[in-house]
Amino acid sequence: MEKAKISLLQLYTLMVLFGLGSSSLLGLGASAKQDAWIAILIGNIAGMVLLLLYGYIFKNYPDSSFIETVELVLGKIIGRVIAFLYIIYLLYKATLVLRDIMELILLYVLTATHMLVVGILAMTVVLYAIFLGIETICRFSQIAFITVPMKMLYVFGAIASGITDFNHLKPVLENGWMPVLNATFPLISSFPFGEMVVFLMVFPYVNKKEKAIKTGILAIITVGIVLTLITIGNIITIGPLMIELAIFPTIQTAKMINIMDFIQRIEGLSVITFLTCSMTKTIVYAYAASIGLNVFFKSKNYRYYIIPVFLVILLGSIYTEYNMTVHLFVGLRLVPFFVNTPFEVIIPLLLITVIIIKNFFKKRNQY
Amino acid sequence: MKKVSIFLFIIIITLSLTGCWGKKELDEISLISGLAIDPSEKGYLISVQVMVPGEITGETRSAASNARMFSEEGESIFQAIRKLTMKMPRKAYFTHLMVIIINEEVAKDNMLEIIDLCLRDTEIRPDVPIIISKDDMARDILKSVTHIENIPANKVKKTGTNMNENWTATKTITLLNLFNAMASDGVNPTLIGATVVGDEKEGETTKNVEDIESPAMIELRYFSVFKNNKLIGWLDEDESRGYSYLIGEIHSSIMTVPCDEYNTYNLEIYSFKTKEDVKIKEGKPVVYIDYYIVTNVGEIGCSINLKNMDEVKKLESIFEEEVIENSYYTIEQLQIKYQSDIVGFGEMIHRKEPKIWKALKEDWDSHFENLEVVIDAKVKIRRPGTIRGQIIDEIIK
Repeated sequence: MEKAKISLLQLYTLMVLFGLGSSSLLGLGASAKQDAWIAILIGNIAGMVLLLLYGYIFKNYPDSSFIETVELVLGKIIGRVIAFLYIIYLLYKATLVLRDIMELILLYVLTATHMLVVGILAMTVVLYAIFLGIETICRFSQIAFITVPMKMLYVFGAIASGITDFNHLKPVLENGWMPVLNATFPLISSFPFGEMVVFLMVFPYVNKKEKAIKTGILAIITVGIVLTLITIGNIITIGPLMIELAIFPTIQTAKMINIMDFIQRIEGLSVITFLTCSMTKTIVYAYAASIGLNVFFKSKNYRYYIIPVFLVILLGSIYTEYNMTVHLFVGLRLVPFFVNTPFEVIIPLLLITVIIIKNFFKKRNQY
Repeated sequence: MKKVSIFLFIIIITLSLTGCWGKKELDEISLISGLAIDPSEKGYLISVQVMVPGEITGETRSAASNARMFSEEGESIFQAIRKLTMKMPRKAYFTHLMVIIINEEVAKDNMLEIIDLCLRDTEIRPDVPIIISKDDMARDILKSVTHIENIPANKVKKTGTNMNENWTATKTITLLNLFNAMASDGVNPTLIGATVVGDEKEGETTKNVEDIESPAMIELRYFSVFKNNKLIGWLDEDESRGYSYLIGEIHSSIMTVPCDEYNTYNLEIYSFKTKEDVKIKEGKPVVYIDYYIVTNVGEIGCSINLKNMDEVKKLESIFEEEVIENSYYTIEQLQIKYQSDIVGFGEMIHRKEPKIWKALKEDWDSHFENLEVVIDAKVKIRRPGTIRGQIIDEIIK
């Protein structure tokens, strides 16, 4: 833990940017076809429930970072094992987001550049950000928040170009609720909403702790609305069939925008706006990982861990996945089940159970 | 120590920021404006049209053509495009591609490879219009030197837009539209056809722009009919007209009905709205299409008193009948002659009655033959132009 204070507004902007990172790029809920936006709305509600669970943990241990909380709640041995697993989880998630960033840049911007170069440049920014600490990261997020309304502008840009067809949204719930729920759980509920578990490492810095969770809920609602709008924009512009095929459907939509033959070919700009969110996400993960390592090894300064975190994320993102096919399969199929569900739902639930039992005994001992 | 490390850091960053591997300056690339795909013995014959920037915007224009064409054969399109580098001094750059012209024969045989390449490629945009070359080689259309618009590919694209806005619905089909139509069960795609009218050989030279009337012109006239992703035929003018009504993509157009042997009534459409509905009758879907057409009087060839409300009503009903008949005729032709649903009745059923659609979608083309469609039209005449009475009566009397 470093000594820092962040305001509620800063927390809000950071959470919104984090939530939109990567998730707004990939066609979330593509398997639900034209009902993907319903899946996102349901995922949004699930996300709020999850955040309330995390809020319960935070309320009981408001001054300790999450890694510390795990150790305090589950005891020396189990607690330390799970805390360490959490650090690996944070690092792994950071590698996935960094891979998204690299694939995006390699596909649309620097097509002939080596992946390592893009990775080093992106991670240098991350490294610098975590070196300066959470206050700087939050101030950055306040400035970068301008990209959120810009994302929504793409949807209106597509409508203004006259290329949209609202018929793509019909028929609603063609195959009933099952495909929608299958898309929501566990993929959308965990990505991006369940990922907010990482903010248990950030909440302790907030100056008005009692309002942190409320702000978080507000941020999740914002993320849900923006994601739903982007998804609807994608569906009406390029159609649900194309969304299933495209790697980055949102960029494909931006490619189609052509207002009066005047505002057109803006995908370069769109890559930058979407990249800002993904970068924020990597920064938050990398920061949480270095803070976690610091707390775990009980060292004095989290900055000792910046270089190791830098190397692990950079090399991990390049070498754990062989190509884009593997990346999409791992990221959208395996990770939601085997990484997100245990770390974002099962372990927090376990912690809450233990906390409730502990509180119960504490109360009984008082009398 | 700190200064040294900062110095090293700056050097590393500077080195890595100097540029990117794949950088291409403007004078190293050739901007491709049009792509034509023809069949050949080897597989495909690719022709690309390169814009010559100096001839388009330069201060002094020479008589030379402002676009150049390069062709190459190859087993696949991608291979042929890359083989072009043997002929071109600069690398072909496709992001400013304005039109893709596909030979009729290729469209009859197999277009899927083309669609896959164009959607997969990062340079080609999904909103490129696709046009089929009817009777001519695709490259001939790209080759014609043209008036008014400098670049032939641009001319093809703009003619399409102009026709769409003022004559019938060309519904300029883009790559993405084509993919969506092909991938969907309930609709077959249709693409606009282009031909070169006149002397093709003359059309290739700059002589074509020297005369007032060009010896050769590009014409966009026909709609193609696709079935199972293959081109099977062309709509004639009446069918094209009916098709435009059915898909309701008319922005502004003229409706013509003969009033006697030589003369016609003409109305100018300025608003054309279509309402679609699907109802289930005895377990079978019936499609209802209602037109609501607002018009102005354009040209009257026979005596009719437009000051009289009954006469106006009569004129309206003549046109209503015409539109309805034309639409029925087109549907009949589609059902009997082509057995291909290019209007998208299947999609209408899909959207309104998804449950019924599930049973139909497997074999939609054969169900389409027996589909019942009910058409109704409402034509409104708003104003008779600048003239109140009837000019012809004044002259004849």
